[in-house]
Amino acid sequence: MNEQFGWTGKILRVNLTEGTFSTVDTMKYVPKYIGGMGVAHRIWWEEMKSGIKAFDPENKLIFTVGVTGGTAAPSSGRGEFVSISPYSYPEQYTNSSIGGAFPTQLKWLGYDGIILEGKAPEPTYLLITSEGPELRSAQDLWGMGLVDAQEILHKRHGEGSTSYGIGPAGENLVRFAIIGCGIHSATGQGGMGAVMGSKNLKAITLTKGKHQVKVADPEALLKVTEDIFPKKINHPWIKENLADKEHNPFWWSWVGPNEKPNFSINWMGLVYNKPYAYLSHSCGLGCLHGCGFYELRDVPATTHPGLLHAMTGCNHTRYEQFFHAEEGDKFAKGFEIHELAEQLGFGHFEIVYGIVPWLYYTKAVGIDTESLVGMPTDVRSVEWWVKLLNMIAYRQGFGDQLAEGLRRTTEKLGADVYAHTIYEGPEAARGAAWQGGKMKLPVAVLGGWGYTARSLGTEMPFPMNLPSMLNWMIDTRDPHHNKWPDWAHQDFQNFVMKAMTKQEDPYTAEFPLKWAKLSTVRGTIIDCLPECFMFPLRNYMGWQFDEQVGEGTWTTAVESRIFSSVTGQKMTEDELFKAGERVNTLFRAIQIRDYNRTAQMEFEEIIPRTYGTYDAEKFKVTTGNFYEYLGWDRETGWPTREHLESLDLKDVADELETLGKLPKTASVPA
Amino acid sequence: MKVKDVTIDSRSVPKAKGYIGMVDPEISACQDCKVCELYCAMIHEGACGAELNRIWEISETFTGDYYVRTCKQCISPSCMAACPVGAIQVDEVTGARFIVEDLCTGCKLCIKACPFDPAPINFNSVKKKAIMCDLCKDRPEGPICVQMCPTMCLELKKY
Repeated sequence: MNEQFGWTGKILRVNLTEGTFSTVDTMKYVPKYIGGMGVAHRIWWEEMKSGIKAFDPENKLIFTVGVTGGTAAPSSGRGEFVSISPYSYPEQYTNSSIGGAFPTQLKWLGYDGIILEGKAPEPTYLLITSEGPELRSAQDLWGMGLVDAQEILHKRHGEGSTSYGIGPAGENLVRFAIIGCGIHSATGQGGMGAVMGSKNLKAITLTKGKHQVKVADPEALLKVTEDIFPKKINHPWIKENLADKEHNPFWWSWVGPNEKPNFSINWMGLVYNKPYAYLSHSCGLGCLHGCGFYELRDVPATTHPGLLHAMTGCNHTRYEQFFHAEEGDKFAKGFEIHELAEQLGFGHFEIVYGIVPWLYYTKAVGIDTESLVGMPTDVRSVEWWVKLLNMIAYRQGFGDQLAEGLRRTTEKLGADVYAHTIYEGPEAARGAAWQGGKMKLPVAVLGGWGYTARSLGTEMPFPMNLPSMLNWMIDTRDPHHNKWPDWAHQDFQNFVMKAMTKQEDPYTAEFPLKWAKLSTVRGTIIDCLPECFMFPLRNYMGWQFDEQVGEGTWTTAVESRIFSSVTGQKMTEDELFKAGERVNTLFRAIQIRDYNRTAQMEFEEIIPRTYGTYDAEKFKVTTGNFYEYLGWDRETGWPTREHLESLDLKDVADELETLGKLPKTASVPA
Repeated sequence: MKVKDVTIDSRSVPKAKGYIGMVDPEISACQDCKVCELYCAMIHEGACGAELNRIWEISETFTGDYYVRTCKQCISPSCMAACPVGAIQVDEVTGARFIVEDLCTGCKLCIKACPFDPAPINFNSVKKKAIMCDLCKDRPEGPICVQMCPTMCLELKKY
């Protein structure tokens, strides 16, 4: 095995309680678990057990970078945090990815990852230099904004240093707090920032390393990169509005010449940033085509003196959209609260898709949440937003409850009223400009396992959301970008058309099972390599492909070529897909062992999140079919011994059997 | 980069065909992806690392300034004059100033002699060799950084 290619060969283990360091041999786990998240899952399986809560010192926070990280592999500058998520409902083991320069630099410091254990006795930051790791006091940084603290660390440790860190939300154990990298990237979901806060760890800072990450076949890696290289377009600072599709090249990168799928309207529509110019910024190193995160400088704050430098983009533009119809400097209003949320260290989705719409919808239908919050709800007021965000970050008043997240809040208040009551009217942010102001939504727009639905579950009608609901069902968080099923693909549209014309029953059709499995395993592979989520969606991003490369939706051939060229170990598409299935099944085994995950539990979680649009009995059949399609038992949802052994997971099967968590009989197809 | 107070050697060498620089930011700007650094290192060294790139994409993350730094292929290269073993030579075709790895002794006198601070010359501490931009003189396609830059913000600037 060419162990010197790609992997550095060791993972740093940090015991924060004792202040000690050691290393773990990466090569014990690869290539069997690919790298990155796959390695993290295996370490978790070996070292953890059930009964540990998110904020217990016994919880671990593991960060991993995959085999392509630190090389020139396209879009490889990302890494993965795993931990027991305080945001997932109930708390469960989950993952969240992040970019910036950090993953690449960690590899260049000679580590494939970091295992954080225990709890530091006082506010601390971890510094890793070419001389090795050390723990330093962060007493002077505790309480500071996420970005501000990292700027201080950057000045302290010099050019080329980079950090991951938390803001006050993480320090105060807000369950949807992020770990962020300057202004440019974050673990948006999972509440990893709160886990970091519970360990008294303010930041991790890296300086330049001396390790060299070797590539087995540079010419092959260059060739595969050229094969998929997106069509190049100039990226100047653009002085027009994001909403101005005629002058926004990224609009067309997303939608293609036929404007399908028209996701652009969702997140670039109604964003009127003029006179402030925007610049497309990559989220991680090796990025071949910015996907829609924009940096803006010198935007004036509206409630205090000062100029703001921050990002907007992706679905976070909802902050700015809340003000799209206001008078005056409307962009600056949204941008100010966006920047504040970033400094406080919030996961944006819970704020702009969860809590704030919930306050708006409850008010609209006459459910009193204003007296709980202690102020009239006014989502068009910057001052209201500032008060609300601070209440949550510092757990003041009802903010202490909202810091638990919307799912826990509505469960406590009474889900029947506070979550399931139906609201009809304009969408909270976009108002009458969206669907003619005629939305019909539950007042708390929640998806599975405590995560906000965004548009995945509720704005997309049955049967379009069937594959993503299946993905969501077997996950412990929302199905993130990497796992998105391709809704705009012709094959998918054919499936929807057949359902609508009653040529096929979507509940018993094979297509949604295939689509959901493919997107789940492919997303897993992406998190293991790592690569970016644009790989499967390259059909819409201006990326190049031909018959050999494939459009991305049906193939992971590019991923296997990248793996082989970096490592020098020939990995066919089928072999890599099987490895991805292995990693995903191991993740399943962790859920079953540590959280007693069952088919019944998943059904009871997902069906209420379909808000009456699904036939429960028929969906039950679909779920059984899906488990079986994955090689799992259709009644329990547990992987069969036969399937586990086919993935070379016999030891996992043995342990599950000991715990009485292997299906007792062979699965019988419906 | 600021200019150090050094005496420039005046001996005459052929001009390089240019140097790697950035295009007018009104046309295209850097997206801070460091693809230039990564491919530079991989194509030259077969590996990536902080000591292996010959072009630097400087990220002033907290002000939002992103720009590149690399060898300016000086008309009168003080690095060349300072090298005691003649390891820095001029390519006949491109005029690129380049370091002959086998000759380099790792003395770092080229880095000290460079008029720019910091010098756009990297030092591979594993091999104990200085490395600097050679305009990818052996690649028929030209400089890899220009070829791979996703935003087309790099170009070979002519003298």
